[in-house]
Amino acid sequence: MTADETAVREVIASWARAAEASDYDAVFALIAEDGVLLIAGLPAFRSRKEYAAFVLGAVKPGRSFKATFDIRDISVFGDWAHVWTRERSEVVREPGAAPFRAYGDSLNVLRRLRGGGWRIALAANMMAMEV
Amino acid sequence: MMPDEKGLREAVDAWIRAMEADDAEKLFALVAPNAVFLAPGRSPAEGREAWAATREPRPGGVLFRCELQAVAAYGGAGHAWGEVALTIPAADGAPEVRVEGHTLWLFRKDSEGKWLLSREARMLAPAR
Repeated sequence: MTADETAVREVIASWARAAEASDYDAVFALIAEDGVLLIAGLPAFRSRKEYAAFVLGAVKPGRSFKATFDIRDISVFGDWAHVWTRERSEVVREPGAAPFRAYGDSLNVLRRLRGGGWRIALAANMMAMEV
Repeated sequence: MMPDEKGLREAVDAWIRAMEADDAEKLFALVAPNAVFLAPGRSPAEGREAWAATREPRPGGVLFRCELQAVAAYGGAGHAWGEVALTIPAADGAPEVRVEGHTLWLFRKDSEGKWLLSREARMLAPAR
């Protein structure tokens, strides 16, 4: 595995850790300022700020989230990378609420910043509720 | 415009024209052999043939609209995404289907310099 692939994997792993810890600032820090997040059924979020406002407005205190992220495929092209991940998660919206499970694929485009760190430039999230 | 970006834009335009025409042959020619097609609630279609097998005949044609939002090329690869609206007219007793949302396409240039679709993330939901 190349150093770039390792660095890109680390971004995905950091995302998973931060999401499980409900550390939203850490999640948002992995997204480029002009990053675009696409989710079925919702308007496109065209910046980190727009996405952050949505997430912070939607989550309830005490929400718990557990997820496994399986990286299916990484390809690095210079300062850009394509990553396909499969996620399985269990969410409890607020303490006492029934858990629900979701699963699905994500397709991500990451970009290396001038300082060398990788950030999410584009994320397509195709999570669906498990029935 | 860099040559790579021009080539990618041409491939993206060709893809969108072929979607508008629902032209299975033209679409197939733009897909990499090992391409993966992803959508919520579905298993990935892995490989060009697997994807082609999921395409159902649409006797009434389709109405496909895409407003491209971004196209970027870099080092023999690239991406594009757009706001998409798809209408499948009622046919053979099946009701009209209208979906809309976003689609992300990842492309790669093959060893002969041809741009081919390598991944698609289709995030369409029933139109409101």
